Amino acid sequence: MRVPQEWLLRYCNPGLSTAELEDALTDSGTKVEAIHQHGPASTDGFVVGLVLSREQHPDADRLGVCIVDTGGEEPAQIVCGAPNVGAGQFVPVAQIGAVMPGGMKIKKAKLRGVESRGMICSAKELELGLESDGILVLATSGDAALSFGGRPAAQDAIPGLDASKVVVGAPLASVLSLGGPVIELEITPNRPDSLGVYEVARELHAATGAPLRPQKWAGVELPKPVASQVDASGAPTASVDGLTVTLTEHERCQRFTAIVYENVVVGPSPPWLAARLVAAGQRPINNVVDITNYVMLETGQPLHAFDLDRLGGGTLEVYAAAEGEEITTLDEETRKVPAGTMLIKDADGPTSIGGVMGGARSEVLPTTTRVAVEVATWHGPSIHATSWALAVRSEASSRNEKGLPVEQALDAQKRALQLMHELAGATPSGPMIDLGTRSVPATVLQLPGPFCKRVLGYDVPERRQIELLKAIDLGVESSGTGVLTVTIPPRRRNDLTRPIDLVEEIARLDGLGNVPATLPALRPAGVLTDRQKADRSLLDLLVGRGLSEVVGWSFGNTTQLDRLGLEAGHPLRAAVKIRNPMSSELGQLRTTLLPSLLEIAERNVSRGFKDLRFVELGTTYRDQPGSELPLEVRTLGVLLTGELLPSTWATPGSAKADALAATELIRAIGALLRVDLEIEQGTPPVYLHPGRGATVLLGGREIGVVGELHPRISAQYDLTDPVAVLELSADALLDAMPGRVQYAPFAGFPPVTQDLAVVIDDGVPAKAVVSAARGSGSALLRDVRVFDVYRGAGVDEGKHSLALRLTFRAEDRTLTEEEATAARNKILKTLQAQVGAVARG
Amino acid sequence: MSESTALLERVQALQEAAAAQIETTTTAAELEEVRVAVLGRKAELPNLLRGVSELPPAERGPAGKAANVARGAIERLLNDRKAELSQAEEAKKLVADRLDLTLPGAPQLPDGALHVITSTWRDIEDVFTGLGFSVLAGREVESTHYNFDALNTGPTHPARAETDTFYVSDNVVLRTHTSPMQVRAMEIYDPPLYVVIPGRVYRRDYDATHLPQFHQVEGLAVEPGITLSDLKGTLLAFAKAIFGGELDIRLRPHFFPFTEPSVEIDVACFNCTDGWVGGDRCPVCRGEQWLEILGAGQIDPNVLRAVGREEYHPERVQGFAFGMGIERIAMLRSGIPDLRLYIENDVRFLEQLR
Repeated sequence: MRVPQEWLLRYCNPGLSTAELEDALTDSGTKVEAIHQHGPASTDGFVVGLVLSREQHPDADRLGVCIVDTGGEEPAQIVCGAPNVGAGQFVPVAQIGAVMPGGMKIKKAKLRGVESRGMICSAKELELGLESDGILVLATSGDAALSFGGRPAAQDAIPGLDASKVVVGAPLASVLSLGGPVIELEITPNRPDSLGVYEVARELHAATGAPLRPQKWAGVELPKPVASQVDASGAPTASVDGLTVTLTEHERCQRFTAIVYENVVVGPSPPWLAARLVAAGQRPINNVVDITNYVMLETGQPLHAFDLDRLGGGTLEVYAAAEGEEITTLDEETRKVPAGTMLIKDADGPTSIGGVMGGARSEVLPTTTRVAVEVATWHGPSIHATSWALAVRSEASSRNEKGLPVEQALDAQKRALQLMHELAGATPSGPMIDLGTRSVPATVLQLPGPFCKRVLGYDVPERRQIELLKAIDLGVESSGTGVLTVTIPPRRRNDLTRPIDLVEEIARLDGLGNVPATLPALRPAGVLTDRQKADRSLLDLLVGRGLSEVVGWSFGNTTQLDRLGLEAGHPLRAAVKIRNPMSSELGQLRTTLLPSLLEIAERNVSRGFKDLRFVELGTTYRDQPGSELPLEVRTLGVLLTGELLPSTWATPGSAKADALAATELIRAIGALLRVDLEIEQGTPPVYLHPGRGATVLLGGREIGVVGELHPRISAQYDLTDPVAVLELSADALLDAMPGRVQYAPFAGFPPVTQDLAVVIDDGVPAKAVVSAARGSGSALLRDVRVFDVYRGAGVDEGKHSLALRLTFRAEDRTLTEEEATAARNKILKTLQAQVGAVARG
Repeated sequence: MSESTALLERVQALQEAAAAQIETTTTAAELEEVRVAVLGRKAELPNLLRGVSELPPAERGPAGKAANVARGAIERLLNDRKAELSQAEEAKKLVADRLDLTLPGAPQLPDGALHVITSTWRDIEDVFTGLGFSVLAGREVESTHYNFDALNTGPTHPARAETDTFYVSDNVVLRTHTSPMQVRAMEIYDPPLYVVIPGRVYRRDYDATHLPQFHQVEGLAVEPGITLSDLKGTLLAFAKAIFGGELDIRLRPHFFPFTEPSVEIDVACFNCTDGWVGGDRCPVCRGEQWLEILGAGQIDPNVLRAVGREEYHPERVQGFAFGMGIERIAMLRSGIPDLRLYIENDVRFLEQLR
């Protein structure tokens, strides 16, 4: 909300600079978002000038050379490009040395060879917030001969202009409100009461102790309300001369008041009012419309003026829209409103969207003479819903959506009545229509003395508590027993319902700078669990092996799954769909990390980086039939492509990432977490290379996949090198981790190693050979390691040789070669029997 | 001159000759030749020793002893020389093995990097474990009960609008903050409860300053007697640890439905003095001197009531809660200008903030 500083200070002036005001407001909870300067920062050098003559510039079609009397000894020559400048105009002149709102300093200049001393200003250049079409003509003399001390013969309708002071050489600031600081405030949703200048002044009063002046409308008497009836449908209704109002929907329109004015003189607003509106960010229109805006800005209560003569049948009905209703709003857009939207209609149909925007059909025009000023209280959430559904946000809706107190309606009626009388010469033609709830009971709270200290940790003396609560218009009585009885007038604050709410008021107004810094005395030792540490280690392991961690989107889409070639019904298709996604690309939650890893790789390749090693440790999501909440699995994903180890001067020959690079990571992960991970090369998932893909088993259960991506899929992502991937359930890994390892004595006797080369069919996996060797029953065997694979001369087609390094050791003696050889031979027999192995030469 | 005297003189001469020869050898092979020549089977000295038996018994002792001493002395010389030569040879070999250590090392194992979100996340966790907090994780797809209702956020609160929050169904949303774990944690664990909950959260906003997914750390301390002053002390300690140095924080009144009183916390800009760096306005705080880093407050009694456990009745316990954005803190610390860099995962970004 934009609050012109001078308007605020009119109600409460603590004698502070703008920066000090900013601190006082921010520190007490009304956060200052920005300070804007309305108009030039300094008014020095801005004067009223009279254009004595305008000649065409000799070398520029669009420029004029003006002689302007600014009250100095000699008139100034000023080159001006505005099309509307002409002799006889009183105009704002920025003299040499004046600083324009943008910071530009006016200097003597030559424009196309002609000297120019100063600048004739437009309203836009002065940042007065007015529409600008050429220079701002303050007045026209009607007779150019009227030079020195000449008075204007006529004046344009310039908001904020004090025509009586327009004389040559007068400081511009004495003629026009050149603005001043405008304070932009963030008003939190719990404080709709602060959406008016007067209530901000009250905050300033409470924060600084400076006196709060009474509301301008404090003594205004409203006409008596007319008696209401109940119509045939049971809705309350009331009539005055020329207007009948029916409140069909009471739940969402809690109060509806209206006052009819006759003999209204519509015209421009006075300068002071228009200037404040402009500074607050509103466009002056005419006095009646401006009054409604001004009163809203001052009281925080939105209101609306109808032209009664254009109101069909002189009736207003507040009701909930039926399906498919349309309305043309003030911005001349025809909008279809959702069923249930609060509308106000006359005999010809809908005329306003209640609480959000008025209709074009009954707006106040220069010809208007009879006006109904309506002030209503709406159900906040309904207004919020309507405003969002229609994408219409107005000053009115942003206030009404917060839910305003019903009592506030009369503040606005009083201030409007006062201004209608002063500025439009109008008085109420009869009683007031007032339907719905007129007041709600005040809240009374008991605040025990020690409660403040219990919550805050420091003492605020009772005397101070009373002072602060009274400053925000609460009734406070001290019982003398340390308990304060606090009465909250409902028209003031609807967010104060519990003692704790009062503690917040006391703390913020007392100043949070008074809060001491202490630490909880009995806090425990904070620790990471073993699982949390292992989760970090898992990522650190892969980072240590040269992988960069990426953080991808949780969101995904079906196209990604299509690209992986997943058939309908595949488990990875069980995605959680977002009902209101940002876009279809982000339309559901990811079931696998692979698509985002691939997209990240694709993006980096397109930027010229093709050797990529990525890891992501994040959540994947699966819809679980029968459960409202999906399954969330912490998942580890890895993508490797391009050169893994670069060729160096010392180690020539580079290594490219392939499936084995990924299976080695599986081994390392198993070793780190001490879990047995098994590679099962049965039928790999469709998106993997059919010969280079496998599933990963943990305790016989599938927990992930490893291998190279199917080249057809890599190609879709413009990845030409093999793409090695792995994806594992990190949750499964961490769940399976054994507890703390206990020390086991290790034997001091040396091992004996022997090599064994066997020829096997190509169909036999190495894993089968190794596990057959391990299961051979040799009690001396400690380790089996494949150290060579050979195909070619000496080995039949369809077969290959596998060289195993066997490590034997006895726990009670030094093993002899003979014993080791015997054990090796036993293993060979087992391999012959179980995997059809033949000893190689 | 007796026979034995002659023998002794000969031994002496042989020993001296051997010593001279040993001294002049330059390689292990030469030394071996000398050894064979002076102590080998055909050499004179050992044969002289065999001749001792032919001496008269009275002379055998001194002669034999002299020969043995000479032999021992020569053996010692041989061994010493052998050691000298092998040291020299090793030194020569090592000189020949010289490597230019200014060449690149090999093999060149690649450098990995943690994403700056993770490293910041861990830094924050570590500070809070040091302050007595344990770490919990919570689910991301969450019921409206935990995300809104239990947090004193009524059914008509604007934050629940479909324009602001991602919905899976009427009662299920992508959590809009890490706060749902407040009530979940209190349902599971007894007080005293000191936990932080880092995690990913979602809001419907996407531009240079908003991503629809981002990360927060929630904090919660509940036990009898935890005050707003404790909140300030805890977050002051946090700010000093994360941003470094003796900096100050300030509390500003604010509003959150689930805390009362609610505050926003600013940390004094760590990059400037009074908003200026040299002659320029500080780019980190834009001259404001304060940086907004988090929202916090005393847990609203309605939230404690929503737990529904006697242990957490607001008459028995109280506490504070806070929530901060990880991206925001990483942005401030590393000068990251645009949130979209986090999600792009350009290798240059990843490697730069290693």
